[in-house]
Amino acid sequence: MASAGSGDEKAAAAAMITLISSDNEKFEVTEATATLSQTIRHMIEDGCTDGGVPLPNVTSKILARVIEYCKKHATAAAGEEGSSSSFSDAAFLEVDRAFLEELEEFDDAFLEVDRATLFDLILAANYLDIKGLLNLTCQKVADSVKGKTPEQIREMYNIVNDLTPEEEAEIRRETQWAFE
Amino acid sequence: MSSSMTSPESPEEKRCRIGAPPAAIPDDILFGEVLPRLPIKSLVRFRSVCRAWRNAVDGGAVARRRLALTQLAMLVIPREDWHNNLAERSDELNFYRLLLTDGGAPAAAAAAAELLVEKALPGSATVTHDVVPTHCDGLVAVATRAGEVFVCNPATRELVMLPPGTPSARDDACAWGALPAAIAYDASRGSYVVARYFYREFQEAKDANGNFVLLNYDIGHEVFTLAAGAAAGGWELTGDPPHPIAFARPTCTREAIYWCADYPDEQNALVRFDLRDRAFDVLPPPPPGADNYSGEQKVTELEGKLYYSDYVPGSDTAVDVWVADEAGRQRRPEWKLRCRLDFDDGVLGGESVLLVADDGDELLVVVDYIKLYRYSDRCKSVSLVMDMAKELVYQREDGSLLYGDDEGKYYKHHVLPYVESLVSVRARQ
Repeated sequence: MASAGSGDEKAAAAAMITLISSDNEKFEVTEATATLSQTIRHMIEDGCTDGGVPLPNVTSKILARVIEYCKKHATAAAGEEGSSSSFSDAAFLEVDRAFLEELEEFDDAFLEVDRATLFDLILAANYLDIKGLLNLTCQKVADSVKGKTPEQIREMYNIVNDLTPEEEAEIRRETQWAFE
Repeated sequence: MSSSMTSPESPEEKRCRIGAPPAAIPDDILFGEVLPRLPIKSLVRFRSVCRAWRNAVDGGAVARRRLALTQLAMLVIPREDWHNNLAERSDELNFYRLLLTDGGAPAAAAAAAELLVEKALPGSATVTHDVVPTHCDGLVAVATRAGEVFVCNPATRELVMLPPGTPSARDDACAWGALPAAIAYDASRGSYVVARYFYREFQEAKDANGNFVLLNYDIGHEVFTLAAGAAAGGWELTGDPPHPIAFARPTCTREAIYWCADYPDEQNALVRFDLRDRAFDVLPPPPPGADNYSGEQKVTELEGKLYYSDYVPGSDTAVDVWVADEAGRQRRPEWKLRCRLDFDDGVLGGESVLLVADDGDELLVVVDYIKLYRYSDRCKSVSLVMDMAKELVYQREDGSLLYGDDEGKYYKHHVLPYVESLVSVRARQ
């Protein structure tokens, strides 16, 4: 266990946390990677990560993907902090831009998954409280439905329309512009 | 809940379930995280998916979460400004989004106007050219020179006309302009409110030096709560403001509405109306107050902070911008100097300097409702982004232009901080 407030950055960076998936697979990750999850950050702060962190809601398949995301974004965060003092403003801006572009490409590729996986990632991001991942995955779902008609939404999500024909007609009449 | 034990299902329904595995997002995530990330138009359309979706969109939760996720933008409302026709009416009231296109270098920016709503008014309704708009959470209150107030959400195209408030004994007598109304969110009551002031009595005269002197006044103040059945509610009188109020555009924070004082004893004081207590307080402006009263707008709210901009004493080209954090229950804003804007091209005419954006490194400022400037913290200098009168193009839906340069009309370009929102002008949030 890294003792809080030791002030030794190298020791903190090297501190490892074990995450245990619902199917009992163990993943060793750095504290910097793990603490992208607010849920795990709080556990570390409370000192209850000895012997590993069981995550009964997350399968090994999904956890592997989540860790992949956190590793990449933890590196990016560390890179930003490290470079801000050692570059002149202009140089920093360029490095910053390259970083962001690379991260964006990573995120795009990361989202190339089927719908079931995407939904599982959302559940995991929500449970683990990883803001960036929740934002990324929910935005992906929102983007995939935003141009659809109500009929298509019902079909995609298996939703039964319980509005009366009158109610539906009224919504259309009130907000015709949204259907054009 | 599984229904396999109850009523028999048609083969089609069964196939449908088998074909679509139980890959679903729980409602709390769907309504709390996915729907708030949709464009307004999609959300309005998806009210007809089913009851649960309709209730989610109509209830305030999606709207409030969406506000938290949405970035502050700018709204621009072009109005004819020609001293003869201010009280004349037009059926055209258009809302545009002001977009800043970044050219990389601070000086290479330009602006464009994207149409949000054309002819926001219903049917054959008209509105005076002269208006004062205020904004809160995507709702825009427009007060007209004829004393009407209406509230519009340009994103959902909802619009309500409020019933007439108490007539004012001042507005006709004065050439200043429309009597402003302020829209704000009263968190303690969970509702949006519109506030306005009026004079029961107002007498001023010119002294030997040609300055106006206030002889006598009696000011009142009233609040309208936006809620279902809005028209039935009506304006409610509050206590009287402790100071005369000027025609300048007011602003609101989460805690209070700030009016600019008129006939300032304490130079350029602010009259603060506390939303929770519904009580007034007169606040001194940030130091150093100087005798440079212009009656123009001084205050703006940006992302929860209160900004105050005014000319540096003795200068007509330098403006100080002050900022105050109003967090918590702290009543009096503690002003900090944000920056000094030096308009060294000397174009300022002692008129309005209106702050419309602050992204931490840059401020956007509109001068005299016409010129859009950008201040860069890095360069510590001000550069002209655009002369809106000459360069900003307002297109209508059919592609025609709102005005051409050759018509000889002057326009006021009302620029407001704006956030696109789902907040309804009718519902209690």
